[in-house]
Amino acid sequence: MKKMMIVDDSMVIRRKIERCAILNEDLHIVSAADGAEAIEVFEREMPDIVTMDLTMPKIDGVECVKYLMTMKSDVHILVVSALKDKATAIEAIKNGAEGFLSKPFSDEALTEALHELLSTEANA
Amino acid sequence: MWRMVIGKYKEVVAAIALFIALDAGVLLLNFYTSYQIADDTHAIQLASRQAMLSQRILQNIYQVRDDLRENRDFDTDAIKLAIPYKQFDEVLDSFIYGGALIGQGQGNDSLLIGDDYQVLSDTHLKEAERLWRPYRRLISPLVYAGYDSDTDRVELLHRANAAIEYAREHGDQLLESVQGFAVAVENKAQRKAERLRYIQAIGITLAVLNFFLILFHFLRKLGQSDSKAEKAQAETREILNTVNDGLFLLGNDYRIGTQYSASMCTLFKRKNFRNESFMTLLKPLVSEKILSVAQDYIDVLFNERVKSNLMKELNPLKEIEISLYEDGQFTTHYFNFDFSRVYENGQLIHLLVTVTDVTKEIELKRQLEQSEQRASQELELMLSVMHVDNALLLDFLQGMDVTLKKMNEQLEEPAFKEKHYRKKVDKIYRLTHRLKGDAAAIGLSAFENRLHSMEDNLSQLRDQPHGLEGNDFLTTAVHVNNLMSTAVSIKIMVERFSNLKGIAGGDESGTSERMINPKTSSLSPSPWQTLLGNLVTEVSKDYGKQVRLDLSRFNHRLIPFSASDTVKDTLIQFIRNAIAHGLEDTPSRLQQGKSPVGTISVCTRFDNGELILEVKDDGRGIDFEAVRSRLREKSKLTDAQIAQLTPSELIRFLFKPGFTTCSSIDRHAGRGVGLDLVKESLDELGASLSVGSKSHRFTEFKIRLPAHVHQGFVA
Repeated sequence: MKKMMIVDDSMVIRRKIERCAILNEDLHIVSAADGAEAIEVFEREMPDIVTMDLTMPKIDGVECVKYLMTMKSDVHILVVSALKDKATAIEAIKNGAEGFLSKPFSDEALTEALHELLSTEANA
Repeated sequence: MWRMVIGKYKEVVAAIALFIALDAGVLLLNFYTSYQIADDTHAIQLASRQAMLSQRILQNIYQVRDDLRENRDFDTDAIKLAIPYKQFDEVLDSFIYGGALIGQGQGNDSLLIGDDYQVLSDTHLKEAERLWRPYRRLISPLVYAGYDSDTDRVELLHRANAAIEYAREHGDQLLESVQGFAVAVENKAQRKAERLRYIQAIGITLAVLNFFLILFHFLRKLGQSDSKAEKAQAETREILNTVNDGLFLLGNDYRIGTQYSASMCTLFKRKNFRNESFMTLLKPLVSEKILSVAQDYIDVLFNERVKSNLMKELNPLKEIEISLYEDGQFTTHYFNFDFSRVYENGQLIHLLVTVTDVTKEIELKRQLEQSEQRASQELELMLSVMHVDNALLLDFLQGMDVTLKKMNEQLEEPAFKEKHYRKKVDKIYRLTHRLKGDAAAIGLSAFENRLHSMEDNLSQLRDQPHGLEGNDFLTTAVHVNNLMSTAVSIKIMVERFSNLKGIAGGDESGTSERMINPKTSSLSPSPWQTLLGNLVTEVSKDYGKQVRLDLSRFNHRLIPFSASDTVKDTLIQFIRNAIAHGLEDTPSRLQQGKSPVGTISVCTRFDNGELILEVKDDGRGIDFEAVRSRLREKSKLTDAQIAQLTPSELIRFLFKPGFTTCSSIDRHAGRGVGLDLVKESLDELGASLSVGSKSHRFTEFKIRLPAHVHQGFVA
């Protein structure tokens, strides 16, 4: 059973992602509401997949991604943010994230993104 | 790589190898043969020489016998005999028994006479040997006698004669057999040579056949696959030349590939892209930021770990605006760049870039957005219009028609000097302001807003420090046009509704007549009340003040039609001013012991044949101090002069254009334009205006309409 960490400052969105993930894939979910918590939870749980909201306040999403990648280089990170900030998202991907999902996202889009990430897992 | 090449072409390689092998074989054979021939030639030479040697031997024997007979020294001749004798003997021996003949081979090497000569010339050699043996026995003492001085000459003479005798008897036979042997050796050599020639011929034939096989079979195959490749290339060319989008391959060094679609040239207005960097191509067309993000995006796409399906939304080169230079001018286009990964043998080697010109789509989208916006604005307008009483609305529309016509006239009036333009702006501004007031009065906020933005535009023009010119009025002209068309559509709509009402039949027929017919004082009892009531409600809400309108002594019917517009505008202006400036807010009123709700009363009465209209509020009265301080700020008068002004002089300032005690502009007040307009209109009408005020108690505006104005009235 794979582990997934959801990082988002909105509980509603965390719930939404969690529900979608559980419905469609066999995953154990942990979550964090900000960058600091994310690092703490990550160190403890070492999840295989992470969804990272880049539009949280007080967090440099790119730095967070970089840090997570140093802790576990084969983690699959999906960055989530509004489309306004393409440059930051691309920066996050340059630093190790594997994909991008724009906010607001539908259940279908999220399901597909998770599926894409997990399919590498299968091949890896 | 070589393994691949050889594997692909192994048939050709095998054929060529065979060809080379055959050629080598033939060459080696030739090489070997040349040695053989030399040896054979030598053998033939030796064999043939035997005949000559046998003759010489006989000759020498004769010499030796003659020497012996004549008692001469025979040593020399004996030695002379020894040479051919030994030679003949050795050669014959070698031929029979094999063995090396030292010094007789090719270039001082030893010549090995092999067994094959023995077998071949069995008969001849055997015969020769048989004949030679006795001969030899007879000759040898003669030969060796040359070395031994102690020999018996008589004996030797005897032997010599015997040898000669033997030669006479058997010489011919010996000669024959030796010659026969020579011929046999020659034949043998010939046969060998023939055999070698056959083998060579076969070898060469095979090689030639092989060659032709290679030539025809493989070259044909090559030709076929070449033509297939050419055809494929031609088809690819056709596709690239026809496709509408720009297509090219991008390497991870950002270089554009050698094959690209012809549309690239039309899209980018250039001829050559080969090997150019994509970044160099983009640089003059987009901003620094976009260029940098695009480069990052491409880098990321080349990273196989990243999921390209999850990257599509991040494409920074979607619907980007670029300027292209063509025929001496810059044109704006919108391009889409799409990136797809290209794999070969499981490796990511290129990105396929598709460039599409989406200018038309974007423009269409914009137009659609604009028309949707317009449509929703229209809808909003329509809806707000529907809330208004029809009679009021028609009245308003009439007034608007007149006003818009006036505006148009103003716009079309020729102007030559700066001050003409300024006057234009002023006039149009005041017309707009008045119309805005009307719209506010009947609650048409949509119209009001439009007019407010028109006002904004005009006040911008007014404040413009540098010269005004005709072009500056374009926006205004557009606004006026738009308002005219909207007015038309509303009129149509109203008419339709009215007709419907008429068809639906009913009790409202009287009202509808009144509504459509503009000649009478078209307002039914309620409209003035509604109008003023709405106005008070709206304005008081905006200022957060509680206001009551008292119309108990107001009779609209006393107002003559010709004056009704002016009167309406005036009342609106006074009421607004009362609420904005006159009335205090509820807390202040309570402090002063007044009732929390301020009152504005509007009265109509006759006095000495004149129609009097009064608007009185129970607010703070005219704030003369505020007027004075405004004058200090804005006017050219000295403080002393200002201090000396009487209240009535101060009041006069209120009616000057641009004068306001407000510090900020809002919808209703602050532009300093209402009262001067009012004065102007009243002047036009021939009416007079007076103002009364008591500090903290009331402000009152009184209009007197002279008899000739209101006598046109029909009850």
